[in-house]
Amino acid sequence: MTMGMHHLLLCGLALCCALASGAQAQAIDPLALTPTDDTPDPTHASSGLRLEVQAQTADLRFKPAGLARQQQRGVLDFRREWTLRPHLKLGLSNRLEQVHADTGSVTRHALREAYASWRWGGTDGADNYLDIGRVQWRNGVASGFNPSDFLKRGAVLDLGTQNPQALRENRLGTVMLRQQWLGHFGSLQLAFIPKLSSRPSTAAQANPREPAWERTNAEDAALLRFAPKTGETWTAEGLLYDRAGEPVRGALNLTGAVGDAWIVHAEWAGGRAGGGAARNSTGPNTTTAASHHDQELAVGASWTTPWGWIATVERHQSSTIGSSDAWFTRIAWDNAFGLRNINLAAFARINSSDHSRLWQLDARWHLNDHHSLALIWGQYEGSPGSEYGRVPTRAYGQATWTVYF
Amino acid sequence: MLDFKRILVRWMCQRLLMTAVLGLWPAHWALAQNNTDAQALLVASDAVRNPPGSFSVQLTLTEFRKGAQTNRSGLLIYAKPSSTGGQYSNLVRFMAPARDANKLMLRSGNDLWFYDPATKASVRISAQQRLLGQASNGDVMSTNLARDYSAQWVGEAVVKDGEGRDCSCVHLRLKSTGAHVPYPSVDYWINPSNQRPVMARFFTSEGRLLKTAYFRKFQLVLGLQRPTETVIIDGLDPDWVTLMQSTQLTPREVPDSWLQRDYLARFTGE
Repeated sequence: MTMGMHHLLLCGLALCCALASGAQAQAIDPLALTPTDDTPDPTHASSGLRLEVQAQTADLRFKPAGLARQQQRGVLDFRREWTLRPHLKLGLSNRLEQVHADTGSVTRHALREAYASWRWGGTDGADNYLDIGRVQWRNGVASGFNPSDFLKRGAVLDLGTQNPQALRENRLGTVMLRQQWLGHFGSLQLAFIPKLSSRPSTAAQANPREPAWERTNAEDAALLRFAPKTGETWTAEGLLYDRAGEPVRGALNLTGAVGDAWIVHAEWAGGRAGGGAARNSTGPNTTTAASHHDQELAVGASWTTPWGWIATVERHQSSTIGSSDAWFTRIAWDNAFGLRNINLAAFARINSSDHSRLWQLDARWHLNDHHSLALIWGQYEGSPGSEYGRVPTRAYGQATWTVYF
Repeated sequence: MLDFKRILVRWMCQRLLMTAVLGLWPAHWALAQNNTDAQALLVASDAVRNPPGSFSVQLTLTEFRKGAQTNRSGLLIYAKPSSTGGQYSNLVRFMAPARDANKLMLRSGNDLWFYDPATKASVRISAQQRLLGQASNGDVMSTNLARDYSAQWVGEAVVKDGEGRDCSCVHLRLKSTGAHVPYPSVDYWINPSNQRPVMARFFTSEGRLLKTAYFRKFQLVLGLQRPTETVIIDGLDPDWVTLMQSTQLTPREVPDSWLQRDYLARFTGE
């Protein structure tokens, strides 16, 4: 039998299989489908506990002390709320990490949230809430850079990824006393943030098992936020942040729905500059020194394409000293290629001034209801001395297996 | 003689015109009457799917690909007719799978927000983005079609219902009357004897089929025979079938404060 005959037979066999599977597909009656009995009850409440096992590798341009090329992590992540009484709620969010790296091993403990929340009122359509404890309070409407997210300073945990969503998910909350009025007018929130530690924020790295108050509560501060109830098309909110030793800063957030597929957003923060600390840990590299007026702006749009991708483009501008200009773009595609449970995403940050960039690809596969696998690859690119070109890491890869309980 | 001819021509023209008007009038009248009936039938059918006032309902969605079960998820939907026009505002709580537990989606007209308790962040999403997720299947259950669509009478037809039986139905064509409606047009089959919805086909503005829904397993719930199962077949991929089972349909107060973005972080479900 010649090779040609073999190929012909194989093709014929494949065709038969395809026709058989086609016939089988045609035979399926959608009205006759019933759930199998061995699947868990989908309305069963989640425990809030998850386990992560992670391996990470990095290609370094140079190796500063303490920066690992290889590391493995085991993570126990817990977050849950309990309603003790109709008006009283407790919340706890905690992350415990065991990290093994070529630079050594360390156990890290991050108490992200621990709070009590009390509700009262409601008879006239308005509710009042009082929160006390460590609370994660994120502000901003942009995707890649949030000038109005005043409480993010020092709160971001080292996760081995620059994905903005992962950084938001795993940051420390701030200890505060907060009251919220929620009613027909919209929402008004006022928080008082006490100073709890005078240690430098690097002290937290020295002992990673401590609550790290110095990272989130290094100074007395107050934060006011007002979000009026608006129409369906546009939303707006304003913030005022007063931190001891620094001038008051204001912020404004806007979103708009343009047609069925577009969301536009703008986020602005500004005030008199002062103090010496960098305000933004994940945005353009800006520091302030002398007293002057400065502002930061993020403007962008998100488009749901007819093919199911979500594409976001943002421009960030900062007029602080050493003014910067950057772009952020992200594409997310859930159920990619029509494959249920496979989600793909990619994002890039580009410094417009020196053209250096960071990009990251992210693939997630939800194996079943309780297991997920995530693969990440990212690179810092740019000339030596540029924002991303001077980062010690040239490229990094990460694989994470997550179990949800 | 010329005058006689002119009078004769005018008289004939008038007769022709009257004949035409009188001849067409019953057709026009019947069409308008049918469309009025169609809208009334749509209102009655909405009342079969949804109880009056605010309510909550638990949905279990089971997905099948090529006949094999691939996914199961759970949603809890709180629906309240808006004060401006009666369309429902929805708050959807994701119950399962565990990785999505306690995520929320708020729809108040064209104002849509997705809340993730892990990030404590509310993200505004587009109407099209909502359609990509399972929560949009909940719209099939908790939408007042008569509020957003004008119904046209297409005719009567015998169709297979969700149980596979022949059913004599009225075929309506629904056209959206405003912007920001997720499905610009819907073909809808209703059993006129009991106003039960039997089948629906949802289309894009370009006429592309998005999904086909069969309403079935009618049971006595809150005083009426209501569908407790909906079979949803994807328009692009007919091998992708979602079985939506509803339980615990309960009338309940849904406060206005629940239906705004700043409440999402406060939501406990009670």
